[in-house]
Amino acid sequence: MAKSKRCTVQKLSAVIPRASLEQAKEELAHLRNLTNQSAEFSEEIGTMITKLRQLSAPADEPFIFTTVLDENEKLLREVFRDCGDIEFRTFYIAKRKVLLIYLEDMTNTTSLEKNVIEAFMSQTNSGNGTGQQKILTDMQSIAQNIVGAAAVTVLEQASTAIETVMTGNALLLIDGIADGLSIGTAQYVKRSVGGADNEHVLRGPNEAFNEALRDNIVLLRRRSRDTNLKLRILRIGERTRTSIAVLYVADLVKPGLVEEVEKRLSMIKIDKILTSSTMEEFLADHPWTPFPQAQTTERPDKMLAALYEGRVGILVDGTPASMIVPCTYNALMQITDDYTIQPIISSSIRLMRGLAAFIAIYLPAIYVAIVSYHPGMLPTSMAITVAELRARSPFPSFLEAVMMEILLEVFQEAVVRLPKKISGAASMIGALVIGTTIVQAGIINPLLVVVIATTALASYSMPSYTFSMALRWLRIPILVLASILGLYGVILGILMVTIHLCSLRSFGESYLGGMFNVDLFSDWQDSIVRLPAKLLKTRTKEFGAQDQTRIGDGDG
Amino acid sequence: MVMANLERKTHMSTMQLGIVVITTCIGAQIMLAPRSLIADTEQGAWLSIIIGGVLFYLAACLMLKLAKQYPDETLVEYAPRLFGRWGGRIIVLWFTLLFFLQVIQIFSGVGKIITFHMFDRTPPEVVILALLVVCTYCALQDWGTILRVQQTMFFIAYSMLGIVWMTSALNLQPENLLPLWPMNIEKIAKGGFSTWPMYSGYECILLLLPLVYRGTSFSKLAKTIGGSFGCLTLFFLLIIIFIIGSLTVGNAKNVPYPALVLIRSIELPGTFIERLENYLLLAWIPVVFDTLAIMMFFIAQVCMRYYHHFDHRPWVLLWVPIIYVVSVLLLDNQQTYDMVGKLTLWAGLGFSFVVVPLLLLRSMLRKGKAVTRCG
Repeated sequence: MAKSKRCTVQKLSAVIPRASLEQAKEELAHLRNLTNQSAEFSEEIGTMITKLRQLSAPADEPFIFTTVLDENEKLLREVFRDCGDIEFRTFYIAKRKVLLIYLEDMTNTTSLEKNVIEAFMSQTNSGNGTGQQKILTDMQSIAQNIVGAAAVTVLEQASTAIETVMTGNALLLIDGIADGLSIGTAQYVKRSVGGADNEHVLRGPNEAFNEALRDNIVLLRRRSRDTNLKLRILRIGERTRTSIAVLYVADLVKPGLVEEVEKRLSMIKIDKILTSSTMEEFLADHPWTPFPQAQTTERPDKMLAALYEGRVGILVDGTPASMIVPCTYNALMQITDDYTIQPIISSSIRLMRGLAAFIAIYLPAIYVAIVSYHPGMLPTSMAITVAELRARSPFPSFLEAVMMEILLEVFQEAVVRLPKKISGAASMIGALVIGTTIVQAGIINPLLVVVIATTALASYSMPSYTFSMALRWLRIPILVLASILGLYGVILGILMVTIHLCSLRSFGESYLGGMFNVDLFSDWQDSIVRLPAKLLKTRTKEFGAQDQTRIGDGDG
Repeated sequence: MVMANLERKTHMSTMQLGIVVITTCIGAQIMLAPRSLIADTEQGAWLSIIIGGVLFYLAACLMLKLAKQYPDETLVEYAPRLFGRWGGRIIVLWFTLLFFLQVIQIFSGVGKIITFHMFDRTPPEVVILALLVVCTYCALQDWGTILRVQQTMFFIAYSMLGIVWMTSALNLQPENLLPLWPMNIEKIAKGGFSTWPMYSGYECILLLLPLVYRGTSFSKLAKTIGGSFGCLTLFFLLIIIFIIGSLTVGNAKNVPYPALVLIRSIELPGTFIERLENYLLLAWIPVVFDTLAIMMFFIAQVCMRYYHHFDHRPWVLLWVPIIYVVSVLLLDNQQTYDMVGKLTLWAGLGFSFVVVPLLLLRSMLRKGKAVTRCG
């Protein structure tokens, strides 16, 4: 009996098996699983909700705004996740939550504080609760009654709201309203308006476009008070959403041209637009030609002059290089200085430029052809001199010319790529190596050096760098033709280039413009030559301007 | 108001038609034809040139009249309607052959001349092939491009050719032209017809007139084409007069290419220019090229229209090997070359003075009947 009364201490688990440590561990693990699963469910439900929201939103919209600000905020925070420079500022007015979203370094916060936050606070302090409630019913009345900023836009779409934040404007959302308000407070670091780096003029304006689209538009507007100068802004680039301004003069531009430009621009499907040349490749009618198919300029005066010829300008945010279409040979070969010097001199210079373009392509080929196949065409004394000079060089003339071309290209690339301080030294080395040492070493004959140097100078005299590049590129195939078929090959090469140029179109216009077209004889007055300004009474027909009269527009 | 140039790529002005006629007509024959003409007509060659100019202008006017009856159609479309299926086929084939025969002769002649004067060690086949490639590239383009090429050549190549040729005036001795009014009228009249190879190419009117703006009147067209023939006649006169005046008839008919022989003899003392024949050839190649390219385009156009295709380019590519092979075959066989020349001459004259008048007559009769029935 005593034995049976003895008290024994046992483990709880021995009495209650469910209280064992193993069991507790199992239960804990189970609990953890459940917690994880519920978290997963929660995430899945969240995703489903987002998807449902997206489903109800149009295809090109990430979601739609609702009247519940917390939900809108949650979705926006999801969109701006890991964007450390996005600020979410919350405050309350009449017990309603107000959310201000902006990009920290691209927004003028002083203006934001003054025109938005202070304006809202002053409304709160006024104590007129009924009035406040009345104003806070829709964004339009808030924009009209509270916000003091100059540029405000009511936004209904989420994509536009996101874009407005990314451009530096502030986005205002209020609980109970399914719209947003874009407040123009963008302010960012930019270069001030400077001189043209690539298009110098001797007499004439020297202001040039910079990287800011707005500044560039201002530079144009400041030069013309014409209300017919129109401007349409597009956004291109799936990711960068770069602003593109399409400019034209409404009563001059050829009917259908602006629409065609916009159509081609809207068809550009690319993630980023960082330079205007990317767009040029998309706009081009012939992507494989070496010739530029849009005129590039950084000069507002040149852009404006082109617009008043009936052409269309394209400004790209982030680059000073603007584009003008349609592009013709004549347009590429003209510069502002042509109009600031005497017409007769300017006409001679234009003719000289045409000759320089010819020399830039064909001179080395003509040299190789004459030296290799037709030395008889040279005067006897000159033929003997050339033969003597060539006797020192171990290479055939074609190889000599190709070597010199390669050296020239390498030299040019080096000078362009090097910092300005070192490029001077590179020029010196180039001059010494190419000009002197190679000749002294007997590798290249001096006459060829003269030929190549003349060719290089001729290509430098081109007003358009891209056109000059095209001429440089063409030299090698023509050289090959010259080395195979002599002058016959050169002539065939000239014919091929002519056919190619005749076949090129820029927005429906011939690349050669009015040149050699008997129907456009009147265009010659300001293309091959330039007549005095008072005789230039009509616009060039090559761009199809609606109003052909240049002088006396207002005469009726 | 004339809008921008290439908006209406399928249309052209009367002036442009006139230029195309000039560029099509002036081609290789300015080098190839003078010898035989001088041999036949001697000092009267200049009269034959004028007679030829008038004759072929009249033929061109007949073509204009015919083409104006069908302003939206070319010969390929209306010939079968006027002369039935087989008659139409024969006329279209005749028309195509006319261009084809000229093209192969020109290629062959150019191959010989370039090889002889510029590359004595290069086979003419290579010379022909190189030119054929360039002509094909041009013929593959659309009409807007070809029209622009023709105008470009008209302004550049023809002025270069004219400048180089005018230097031959330095050797001109007017007494060689005497007697200025020879008595052998029959030979001169025959010579007028035999100048057809020089003027040939105006047949393109039958293909191109639908492209000219529809409102253009017959008289305006006739005046413009008259201007073109005036230029052609003047150009050929300058060639013949300078050749006879510098070389004499006796020498000119005994050399294969008198124009080149003449220009070779020119010396420009005190200048760096030597061997002017090379300069003349360099100016002549683009002139030949534009004739060949446009003729190849016409051949392809005729085929395209006949078989109701939308694109002429496959036809260009189809004709290229045929043109090359036949041109090369003509190189080594002078007799065949001459025979083809005669065949082309007769085919050309027959087309201009038999086929076209018949077509015009038939068309007028049909229209007259239609009016009577309606009335």
